[in-house]
Amino acid sequence: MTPRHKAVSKLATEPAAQQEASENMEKKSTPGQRIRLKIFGVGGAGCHVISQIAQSRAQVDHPLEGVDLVAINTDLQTLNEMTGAETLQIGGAVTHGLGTGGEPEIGARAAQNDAERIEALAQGADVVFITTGLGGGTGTGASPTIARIAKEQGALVLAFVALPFSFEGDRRKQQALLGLEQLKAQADAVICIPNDKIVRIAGADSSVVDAFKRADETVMVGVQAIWQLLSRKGLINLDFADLRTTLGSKHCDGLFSYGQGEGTNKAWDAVKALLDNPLLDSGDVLAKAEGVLVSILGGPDMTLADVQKSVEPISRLANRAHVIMGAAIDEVYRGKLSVTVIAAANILPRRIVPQSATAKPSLPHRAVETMSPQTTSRPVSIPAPAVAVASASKPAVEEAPKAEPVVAQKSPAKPKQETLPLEGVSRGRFDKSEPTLYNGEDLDVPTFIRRAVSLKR
Amino acid sequence: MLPKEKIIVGLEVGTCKVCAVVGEVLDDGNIMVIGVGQANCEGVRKGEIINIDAAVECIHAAVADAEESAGVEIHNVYASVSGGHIRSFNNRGTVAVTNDEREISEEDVRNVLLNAKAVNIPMDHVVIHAIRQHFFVDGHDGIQNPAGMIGAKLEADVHVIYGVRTRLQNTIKCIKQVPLDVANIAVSSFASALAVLTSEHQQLGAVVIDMGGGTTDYIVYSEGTIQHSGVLAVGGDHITNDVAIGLRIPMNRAETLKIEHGSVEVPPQEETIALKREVGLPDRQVSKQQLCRAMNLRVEETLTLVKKELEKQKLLDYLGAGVFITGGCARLRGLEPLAGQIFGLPVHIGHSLTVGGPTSAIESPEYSTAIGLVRYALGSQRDQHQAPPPWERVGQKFQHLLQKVRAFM
Repeated sequence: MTPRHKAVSKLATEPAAQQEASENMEKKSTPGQRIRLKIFGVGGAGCHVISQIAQSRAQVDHPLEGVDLVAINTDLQTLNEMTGAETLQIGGAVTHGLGTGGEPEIGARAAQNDAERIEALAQGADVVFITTGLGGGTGTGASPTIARIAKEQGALVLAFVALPFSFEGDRRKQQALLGLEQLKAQADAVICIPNDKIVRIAGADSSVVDAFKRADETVMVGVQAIWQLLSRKGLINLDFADLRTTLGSKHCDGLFSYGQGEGTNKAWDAVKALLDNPLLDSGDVLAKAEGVLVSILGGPDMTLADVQKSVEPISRLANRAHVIMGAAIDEVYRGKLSVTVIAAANILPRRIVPQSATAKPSLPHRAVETMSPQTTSRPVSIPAPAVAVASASKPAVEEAPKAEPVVAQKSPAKPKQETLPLEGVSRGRFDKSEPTLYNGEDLDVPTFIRRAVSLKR
Repeated sequence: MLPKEKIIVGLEVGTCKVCAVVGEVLDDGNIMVIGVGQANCEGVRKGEIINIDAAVECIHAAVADAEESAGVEIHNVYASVSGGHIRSFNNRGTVAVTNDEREISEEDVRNVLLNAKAVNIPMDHVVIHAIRQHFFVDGHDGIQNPAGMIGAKLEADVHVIYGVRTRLQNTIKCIKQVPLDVANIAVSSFASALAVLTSEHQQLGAVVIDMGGGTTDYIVYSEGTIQHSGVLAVGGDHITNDVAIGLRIPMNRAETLKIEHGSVEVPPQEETIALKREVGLPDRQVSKQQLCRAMNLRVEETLTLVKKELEKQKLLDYLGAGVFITGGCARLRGLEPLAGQIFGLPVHIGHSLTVGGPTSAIESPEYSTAIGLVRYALGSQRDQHQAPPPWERVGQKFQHLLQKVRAFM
């Protein structure tokens, strides 16, 4: 890799490089002036992320400047150590300022007890990011409630969560998956990072402390990337609706990756850096993805060829996915290019594929299609019917196999279409045999199911 | 030179059927099929053994059938292997010609082939075939027999086919339990190609697709040598499985329905097929269009995957003789037009035209692998006669050259 381009995964490993990247980011408009963003860090991991953002924000022209940071935890001690962020202790009556002891139920009760204070914090925010690590008590238990409250205040809620390392044990994993289900029911979109993949970024011989730190950093970079994606004026506009179309109701392996390039080969460099990110599993995640959102940020000198060069390799890899792209121009990015990808995949194939079954359209066509009429005023709050339509257009999606039934109450702000329980995707007589994998597809599953073709016509 | 044995038996343990073919080597060196036997096979899935006892019984039945039909006793067989674990690649070996006159000796040829066959494969894998493709002398391509030529550098390309040792052992173990001796093994696609392709086809370029019950094996010949081969663990069972799931009927009924009414071409008119009454089950009507659509999608996908593999190897333009389809799935109705549409090449249902014998055997695509094994055996026996010692033997008149599975020989 040349010094001209850097993957975020690399950046996360070197604080110096990270600063440099931050300087590369937007300098002029403070995005918070148009949209009010609040980042809620919930629980231990969430607070870590918040404190990291607070620290890196101390420098000028940080992309997250003007964004409200809120650390929410049950553990008073952690909160007292926070600097540069608002803090909120929840569940004082339940835990007496101590932690939850890894019990999500206590976390949930804590959030419910302090619902009014959370409400006050969420008030006036257009977008609320919730970042947390699932598997523990506060993050797992309180986040769904916080998401619901923020949603009731009219904010768009986007959760960015880390799933526990497998060495943390099965119980935490089960708790995390349950929490993820509940969070999905409340938030508009959930992107999750399985921490096990962080090991690959950090290297297998890194210390546990280091691994956790790396995980927090990755979440931070992800939050920044999505924030940029939402807050910049687009040439080919991407808005929250696009984000939700991509991520809506299909999470679990939702992942992001990010790369930057400079100079004549900037598009190629950026894409290469992006694809080199271990989070993408050397492109496997893209091959399995069903929704892919590509956001390109470049200077005024960005050419159509640059856009094409950066999107093409991605859509070629993600040949099964519904690819949505956006491009934005920023003077600061003259001679540079930054590409962010958010990929969402279900573990099981979907039965009915409304759009992704069609071949990927050619670039100009795509551009026209995604060009939103409002380039200045962003559709910040999306009326509820739109949500219903969006979820109706992809019905009956099989949930992740290990997912427990959703027990959380449904938020009134988001009418969700009931999903019918479907029988698992059948492999028939090959049920117990080793799957025949070809480019990530299991050929033992009947072709008509994989292609979502109805036999009745 | 005549081979030692005049009777050669080829045995294919397939996913759906076990086929045994008894061939007699005539005085002129041609092969006459004198008996065939087959039995429905259980205990094999996707080309690999999952239940040894069941498989042994089926092999026994098929061999007994063949013994009866040929009127000979069978002790020794050549067996075919298949399965998704089998992979292949092309490898090149190089030697410098060292003698003063720079004349390439027989020894150099042997060494370059040994060199080319010394391949790096995973520990638990074993080379099944290392088939000579062609030689290069000082970078000159396409030389068939370099011995006696003048040159400084001799290179050879071989096509190496390898698989997981333990999985191959299971097939051999089954046959040994019958009890029968296994003289040698060959990959299904290679054997099928030997039965179906004449040397003219091999020269012109052809792909043989052996669509069996559990696997689809393919092999590409061009300019007289093997260019590429591969196995997809998708076969007729998958078609049946798709039908069973799509129409919600049990597997055995899906199988009957596929054979009796199925086609890979979707009929334009809707038709209903009445499922015959079974005890305790009411009659059911199923739609023929749905049946055919499920089959069409699967077969089209499988053939397209093969085509993509060939495209990747840039071999599609070298298939002058076209596509030859053998194996049980070759009997699917409407396969020829569908394959023609996919490949854009002439499509033939493979008949084993390289041997003599009763038409019922020669024109059955199911038998092509077993028949090919007989030809393969004949070739390897001749090699043995010509070039002792056995571990260094080099096939001179035959392009195929075999490496034994060391564990069993």
